[in-house]
Amino acid sequence: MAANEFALELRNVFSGYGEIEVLQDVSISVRRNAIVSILGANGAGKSTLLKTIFGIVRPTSGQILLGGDDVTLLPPIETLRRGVSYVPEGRSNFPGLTVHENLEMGAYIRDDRDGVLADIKTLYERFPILGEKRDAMAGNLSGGQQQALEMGIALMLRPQVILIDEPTLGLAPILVTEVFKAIQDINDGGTTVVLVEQNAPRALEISDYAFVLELGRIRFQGPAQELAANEEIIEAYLGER
Amino acid sequence: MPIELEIFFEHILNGLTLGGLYALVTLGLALTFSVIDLVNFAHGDLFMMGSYTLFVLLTLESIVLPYWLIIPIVIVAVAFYAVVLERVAIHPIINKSWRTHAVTTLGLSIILQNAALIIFTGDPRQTPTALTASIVSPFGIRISMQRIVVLVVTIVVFVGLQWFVRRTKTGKSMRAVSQNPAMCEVVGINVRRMATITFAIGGAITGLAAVLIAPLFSVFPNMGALLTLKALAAIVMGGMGHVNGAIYAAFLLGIVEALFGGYVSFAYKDVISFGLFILVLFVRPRGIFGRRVGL
Amino acid sequence: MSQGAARSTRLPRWGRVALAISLVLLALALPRLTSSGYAINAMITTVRWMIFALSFDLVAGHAGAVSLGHPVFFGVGAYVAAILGPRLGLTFISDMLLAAVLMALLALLAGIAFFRIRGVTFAIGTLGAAIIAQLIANNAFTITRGPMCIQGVARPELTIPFTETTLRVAEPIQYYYLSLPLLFITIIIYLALTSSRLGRAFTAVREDEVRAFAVGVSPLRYKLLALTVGAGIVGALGSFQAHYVTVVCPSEMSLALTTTLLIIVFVGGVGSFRGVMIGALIFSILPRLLEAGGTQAISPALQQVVYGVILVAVMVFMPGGLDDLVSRVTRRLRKAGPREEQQP
Repeated sequence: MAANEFALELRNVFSGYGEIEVLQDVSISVRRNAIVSILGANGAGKSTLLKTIFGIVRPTSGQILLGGDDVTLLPPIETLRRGVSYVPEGRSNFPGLTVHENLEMGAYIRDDRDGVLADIKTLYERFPILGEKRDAMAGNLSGGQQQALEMGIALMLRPQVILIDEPTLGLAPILVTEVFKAIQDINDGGTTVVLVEQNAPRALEISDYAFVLELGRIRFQGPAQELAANEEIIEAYLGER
Repeated sequence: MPIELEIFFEHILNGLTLGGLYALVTLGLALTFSVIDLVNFAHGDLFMMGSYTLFVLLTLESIVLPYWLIIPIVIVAVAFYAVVLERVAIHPIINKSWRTHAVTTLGLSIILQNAALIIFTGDPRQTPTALTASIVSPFGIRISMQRIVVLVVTIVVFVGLQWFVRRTKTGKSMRAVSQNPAMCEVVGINVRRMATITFAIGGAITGLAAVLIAPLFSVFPNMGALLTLKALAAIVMGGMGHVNGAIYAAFLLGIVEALFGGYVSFAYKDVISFGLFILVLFVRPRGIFGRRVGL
Repeated sequence: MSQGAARSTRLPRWGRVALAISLVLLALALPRLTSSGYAINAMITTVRWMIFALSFDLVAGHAGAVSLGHPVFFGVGAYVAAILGPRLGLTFISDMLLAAVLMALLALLAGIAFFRIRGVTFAIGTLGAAIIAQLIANNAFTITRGPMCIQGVARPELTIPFTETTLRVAEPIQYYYLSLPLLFITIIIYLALTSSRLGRAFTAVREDEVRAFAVGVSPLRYKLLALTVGAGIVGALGSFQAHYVTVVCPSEMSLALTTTLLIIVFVGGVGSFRGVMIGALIFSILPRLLEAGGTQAISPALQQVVYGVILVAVMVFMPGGLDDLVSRVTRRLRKAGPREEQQP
């Protein structure tokens, strides 16, 4: 089946909170091992899109496929088990747990203790700063370090797909570069990345493909380079941050 | 030793026992409060239920159970009561406001106290054990074995719980729930299951407290009400959600009460401990030890 | 409870006036329907709980401050009538006024102190203060006579204006008519504070203090207003109670009163006039119906168990209380039934 060409597919998805429908008829295909950006203004429904994929928000109609399997109405725990990790927007760690314990919590649904410890070790090699701070409380880390930790938490399940929501929000420019580099690293490791970003130019730099959401609908889609070159789109939807 | 000093030490020992009682009751309440952010006004009634369970087991006519066997039975029983309360009444309202929490658990408290009144009448009951009668007198201070056991067990439970929440996976995930429940869903921690486990552990500790401490006092239907409030006072004084702080505050309350009751006025000893609590509330609303995140 | 529900079941203006007048007339005529002192005592109890619960709902329902110390103002109000009244040579009315003023002042001070505390800590703190007050009442023997109670509080004597006659109040029916003005005043104050602009300010404070502050409503001032007024009302009620039963005991501020208040207000419908009134009516009449109807009297403990179960069940299954239920039922009836009121 050609379905396996895509790690993730949304077909005509409608979704939202109660009476309010945020996403309207959204169809998205994400190729394996790609970095795909979801762009758009505030309130366009980008975060809702990630939450719907992960299962926190239930779609009212449409279909969500993971590697060709229907996962439309599955709860988050089942999405996790099928290899999708989610890094929510804002601070999403356990501030009173140490860095090490946070990573252990990331591996909560795994039962192989030794494997988990080995993975944490690998992660410390990839993000040396986390290794240095392994016994520090997460709440005491800097913003950039916490963002690295949060991606680390998501990586503990060795996900096939990782959903990242606004990872650079409120970070200093130097750290923004580091975060994007880390996302590329994750992708190089064989993980498909779905990235929601405000900083469209930077996101497009590392992305293979991008979708532009406006008021809950897909307005444009295309290879990242094409979108980045299309001044009209940049101007109209992605211009000012 | 001069008699004044002897009396002083006896008051201190009484205070430590009382503090141990408050600390054990506080521990269970503080645990549920910090993990699921719910103040259970029926918590002291779990202690009452444990005490009556002990009373029933001691007065069984068909068989005479040894105390060492009764201890685990009561612990399991109270853990069970706590889980039933959680499943029936607390889980459905867990996402509501603190007002709903307070009113619902106060309702549970009314039910439990009056049910006990119907079943056991209001007469105070005694639950003597072999240990209450055995008196030891180190350094000339007379103290019952039961009190020594209470103190030792309080410390062991406290240290054990520390180990549990720091070192075990379940303990760590309890702390995770207390710090960021929304994030728990993201990593797959079942918050509902953790709430039940927390209630079971809190209930078990309260059961242990009841089976050890009820023999030192009388058992009566509304004995839990005052205990709930003492535990709440300790939690507020310790800095809401700061379990260690609450335990120190519980011992402080016990000692202050014993000294005030011994030297100034027995009738007003509860007034002084609640007065101290209210004073702390006004002067340091975040508790003596300050607020810390989660467990 | 929601605005929408209230509006959809609201009667037209003339209907409300007619309903209010007929209820007042009913309240006035009620004792004439029976000669049983028992029934009249039940009526007085009902009026008392209505006043008590309305004053509590101002604080807990409208200001959102679930105080577990409300009965303290009732108890101290009663002690004011029993201790201060005779020493100052006050009459029934001035006694009630004194109790109201003193309790309002006490509430103002307590409010300034306690409203710095937020959330559940407020409930815990007020519970602690209530326990202290009760312990003092029980132990300050020289002042309160402790559990022996102060007995022989004078029955009211009223001088009828423009005549020389003095009316000595002793019969239950007289007390009933004396209690009605207090109820009417309470209702007027309650409605004045909770309707219109002021009411919306209260709702804002209850729902979200920070947001209320942001739109220019000072949460502290509204909470203080509610607490002071509520305490004044219940202080006067305590004074009335002292002159009615002529005995004042520490149990006048017991926790059992708090739990009954919680039951009335939360089962009836927190923050709703209709709900609180229905709640007070039900929980005043219910125990007496159980006593009168059953062959054997129901024990107070069993009654409390039943109350507790009702309270927990309402919190779990019907958080809007009876008021919400009434709204839903009437809405459904109106939808289903012929819409006669549309014809002129």
